[in-house]
Amino acid sequence: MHGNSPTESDSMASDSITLTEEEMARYSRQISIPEFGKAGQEKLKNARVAVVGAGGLGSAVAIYLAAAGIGYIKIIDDDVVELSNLNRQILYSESDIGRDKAHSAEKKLRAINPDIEIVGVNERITEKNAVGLLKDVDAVVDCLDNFETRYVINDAAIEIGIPLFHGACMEMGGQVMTVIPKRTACLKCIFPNPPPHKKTPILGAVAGTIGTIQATEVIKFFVGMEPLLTNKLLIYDSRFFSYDIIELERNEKCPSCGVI
Amino acid sequence: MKIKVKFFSSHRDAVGEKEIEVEIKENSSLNDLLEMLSEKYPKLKELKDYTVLSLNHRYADGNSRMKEGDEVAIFPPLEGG
Repeated sequence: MHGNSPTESDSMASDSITLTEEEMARYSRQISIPEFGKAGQEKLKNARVAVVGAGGLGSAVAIYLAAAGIGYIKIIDDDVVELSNLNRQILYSESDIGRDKAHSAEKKLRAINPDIEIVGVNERITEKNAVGLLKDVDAVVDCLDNFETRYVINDAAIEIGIPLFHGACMEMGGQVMTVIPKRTACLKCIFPNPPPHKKTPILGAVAGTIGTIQATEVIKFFVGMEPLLTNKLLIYDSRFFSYDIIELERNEKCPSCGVI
Repeated sequence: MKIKVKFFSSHRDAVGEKEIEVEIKENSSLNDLLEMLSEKYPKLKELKDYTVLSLNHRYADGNSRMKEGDEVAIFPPLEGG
């Protein structure tokens, strides 16, 4: 279903993928959601997703995608686990300190769901390797901690033609948007200038909130549920219990996805 | 005319309020508003290069003109993950 919308691949997913009895039991509580059904679960099983960045956002995203039964998850991160990560990076335990995140995450996710394929890639994603690392997936989830690399995966997603699920957080709040390349606003359309890079304070539970919204977007996309946060920026502020949605549109002069 | 301005994240910290009401000349642009607010809250000036704006819940550029009762949001791109 590479580059196609889930609706186009509906019949293909139902014809080629079947669920085992154990899978039917494992996912029964979501299969029973009316718009979801067995067909929705089969689409998840057929889906291939890259999670770029296995930190606070990536932990929540990867755990929920694995638990939900996304068939193939690639975790890309070149960091090692540090003590100061453990307030928010719930993929890891104290025993993981000093180990690389990609493979620690792979091990943890496999324990959560042994029925899916999980690949940890202990590499820094760059302009040079981004397309190579992402061309075998149907979607990429932005769980990064800097805009320089966010622009790299934004551009790679546009080049390959796969959706990008953006999330970011700081202190007690965060933002989420979903990009369908060439159809809806991309990261560069909306954030042409990055903020200065620094180590941002983050409450773990807030990173978890943003990450679970991203994971929900990914699942909704593959199942074919609408609306998504396309052409929308969701701004969450835990201090005031607020969710604001800003309507977006593509910038025709965008250096990444523009037509002019 | 009166408009409502909401601030998020670093911009809220710079202003010290999450929402204010502002009296501004008819037909002013968002750039006019930013200039006016930066006089009153100098820390906003430091954030100018990565300030994102919306007008009535729609992404907007600095040249957009406001009218009475409009709602503006001022926020940064967030970076952390």
